[in-house]
Amino acid sequence: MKKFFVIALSVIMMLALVATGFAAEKEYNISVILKTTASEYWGYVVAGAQAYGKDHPNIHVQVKGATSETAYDEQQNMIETDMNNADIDGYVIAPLQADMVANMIAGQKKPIVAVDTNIEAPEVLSFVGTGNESAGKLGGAAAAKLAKERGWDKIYCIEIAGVQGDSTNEARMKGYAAGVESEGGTFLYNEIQYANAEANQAVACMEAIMQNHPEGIAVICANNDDMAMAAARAAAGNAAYKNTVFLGFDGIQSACNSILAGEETMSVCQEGYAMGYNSVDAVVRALNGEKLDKFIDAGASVVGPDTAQARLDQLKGYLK
Amino acid sequence: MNKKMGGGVQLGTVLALVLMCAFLAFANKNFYSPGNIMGILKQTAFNAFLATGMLLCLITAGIDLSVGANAIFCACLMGALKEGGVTNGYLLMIVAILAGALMGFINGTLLTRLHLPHPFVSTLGMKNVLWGAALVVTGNKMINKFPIEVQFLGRQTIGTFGGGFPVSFLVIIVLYIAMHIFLSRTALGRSIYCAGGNMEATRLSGINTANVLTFCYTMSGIMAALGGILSVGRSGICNGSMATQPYDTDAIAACIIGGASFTGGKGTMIGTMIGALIIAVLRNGFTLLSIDSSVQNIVLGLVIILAVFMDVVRASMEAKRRRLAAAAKAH
Repeated sequence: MKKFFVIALSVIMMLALVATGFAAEKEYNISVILKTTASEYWGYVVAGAQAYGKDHPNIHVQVKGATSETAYDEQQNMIETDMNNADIDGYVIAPLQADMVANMIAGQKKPIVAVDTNIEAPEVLSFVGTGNESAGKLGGAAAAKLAKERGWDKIYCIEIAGVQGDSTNEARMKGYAAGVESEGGTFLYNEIQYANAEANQAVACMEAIMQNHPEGIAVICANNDDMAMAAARAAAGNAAYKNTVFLGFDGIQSACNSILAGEETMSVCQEGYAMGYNSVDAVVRALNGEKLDKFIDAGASVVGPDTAQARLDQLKGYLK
Repeated sequence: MNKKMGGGVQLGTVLALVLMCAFLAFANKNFYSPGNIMGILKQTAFNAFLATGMLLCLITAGIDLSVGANAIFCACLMGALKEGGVTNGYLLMIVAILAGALMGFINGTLLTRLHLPHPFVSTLGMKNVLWGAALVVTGNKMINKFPIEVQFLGRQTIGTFGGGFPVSFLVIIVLYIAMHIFLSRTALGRSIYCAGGNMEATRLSGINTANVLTFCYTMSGIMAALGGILSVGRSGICNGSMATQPYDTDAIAACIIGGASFTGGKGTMIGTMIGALIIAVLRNGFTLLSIDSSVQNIVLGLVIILAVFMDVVRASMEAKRRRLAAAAKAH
């Protein structure tokens, strides 16, 4: 009988402990407002944020994004709407225009974490990302190094850029230039070609570059992988560009396939999945009273012919 | 009066807005929160400014595809002047309005004096010119920290209900009432409808159609400039790359949903207001319900197609009604 009471008491205590544990798991609604959801790269950020929700059933993650990375007005409306939504407990924002978002979130008391691009505002508790400029620098340096290995004496680099005036484009451009120059190369600022982040326009830009430089160029860097792939294909039949390094940005699946096929040479990868997951985690930690670091590094890498297959397998796993 | 305003069709549009609001209120309890309602009004104001100018052009059977780029250009011009040391907010706004008016006047002149075939061509060209000009004047940079006077229209609110009633929407209400009176009660307003209904007949009746058209495009430029000032107040920044955004599509959609026609001669301010509100409510609902951006594009595209289809049905019904009336007279 005594034994029975001891067992019953233990079971009751365990149940009470479990119940207390569940009660401590508060329910939170987290709004994740991204630059867009309409691209493969942002698909990984979405997958990362949603994965956090799956791993933590008490966290309800609502992901949304503008229809394109230049739809500033759309994102502005989304932020305005969610800032007025009483059900939201915390925010993750990837700003299309950081200064614009800084104005919009002024005075917001709920925790806000910036992802991918930082927002300089006191309301933002932390920035999860790498920063386009530092990631670009990593890529620029790797491309210049590879160009040297491929036998180029003069490391000239021309960029096929995205949308002129766009802050992401400008940051990547600065990074590429700094990276190439850090390896003793020359970034040809006067020959930057703007292709509005579109592959079709990148082909026209690459054709113009080949006209102006029949001798070949060591490094062609592009603002995204679509443009880098298009430029590589446009130059495929030109012997002077056989050893050119075509550098893209994002490290998406199609880029890995292109690298494996010997078209695009390398791509800068920001870890979208980790950014999505860690940014939601940061907001939840802030809601639970934890003090966040001002910067949470999501990491960046450069994928090349040797690492493209592993990266491809990893990306496919994220979207399963 | 009811016939002139296309009362039946507007009733349908109002019903669509009410049903949409009812659905969103059912789907998300925050839709009717005061803060969200005020947010919708803020989000409507920019499109409502552009749609005012667009409506004038559509009534004349024309179109102004440069309204969005003109708004951003005017905002960027203010930014460039501010960077150049001009700190007087009123002066910046006056320059922006004059610049917007000038661009509109050029659009009108290209159509009426230089006889370019259709405003679609000239205003599309102007859109590109203004996009490039916006980048040139700002040196491809994003500019912020505007004087408080410039930010007043886009930022200021009145009262505390839901965070305050936006001044921008108050201005829109006053503007729409004034424009309604102008279009329905003044000789020039009626001339605009006449020109859209039958350009040649209007010209033969002694109305200077070239001046009427130029006036409409100049007004469109002024409205775009006001939209630009509003956008600076709302966002606190200007950036030339924003000129690529399809603001003109939203403005056209607001007018067409509200009863305007590509064939000209039709359209009202109240209808355009409802059209602009429908678009803002739709976008707000997408956000509240966390709807994927690809679905957003599909729904918005379908709404525009539906609005144009309604325009076609409306035109054929009207033609049928006229035929029947003529036949009844003949008997």
